[in-house]
Amino acid sequence: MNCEQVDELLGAYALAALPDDERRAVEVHLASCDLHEEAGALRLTAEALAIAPPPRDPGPALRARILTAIAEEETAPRRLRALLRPPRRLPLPYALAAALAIVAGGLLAWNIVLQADDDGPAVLVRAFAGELGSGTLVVLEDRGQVVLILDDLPALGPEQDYQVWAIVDGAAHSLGVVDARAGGRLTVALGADFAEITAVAVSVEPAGGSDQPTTTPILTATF
Amino acid sequence: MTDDLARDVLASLDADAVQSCLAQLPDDQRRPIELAYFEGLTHVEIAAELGIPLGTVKSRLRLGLAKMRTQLEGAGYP
Repeated sequence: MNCEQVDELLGAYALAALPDDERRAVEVHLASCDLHEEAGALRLTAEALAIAPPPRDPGPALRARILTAIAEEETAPRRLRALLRPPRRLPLPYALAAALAIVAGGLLAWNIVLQADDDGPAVLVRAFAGELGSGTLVVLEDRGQVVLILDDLPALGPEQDYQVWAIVDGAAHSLGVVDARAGGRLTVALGADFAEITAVAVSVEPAGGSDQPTTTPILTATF
Repeated sequence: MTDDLARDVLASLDADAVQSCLAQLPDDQRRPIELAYFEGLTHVEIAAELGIPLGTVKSRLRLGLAKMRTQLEGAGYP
């Protein structure tokens, strides 16, 4: 097998999509030829495709900021509240507004921390809890990335899913359906513009999710 | 506990970044990659499944992966 033939197969090789004889031929060639840097890069990318990729070393700076923000959120968060704009009240559709009010009455904790410094992204942590389960929103502000972590929610049967909603201008937009069959901790990365969002809610919906919430949210975080 | 939380957050962001890169590929590159990785098909089986020539499968697997690589690097992944 020559270099050109090997190059042609690098994608299939990285994805383990070659029959054994071809895979061995590629391996033999790569072992004695250093002209195929692309092979290693494609292999790494293919490995990243694992549905639950292995934890990446976040780097000491980002890791420290996340840990500090979480620790502060658990101990003395209130002094930092002034850094954030106060929660806004917006006209919500009647049913949803009533639902949010019911949930707000059941909140056990509602804490905010803004952790930022000169050499890295701001990390915002927001913890909330209801009668069922608890949640944590971690916002990496400059990345526009948000992760919602849900703990202690009851496992659901095959006919139901948890669905996450963003409230924008009083309207609920689905942020995705969470498969809760396994129970335990659930994490969801939310690709949403959080400048526009006034609340995040979690409700129980028929399997596959609904266009709009059909039950009272079990968890709500108001911004 | 908080260490676990940080790890979960980062793992979730990673998964989201990878899935988003895959979703951004054109269908003709994304499908062969999905069949190879998630379904475990060989390139010959992918060609049969999609009804396209073997050479096309090879080039789409390579192009699609390379494009994902570029996007992940652009997003700060090593």
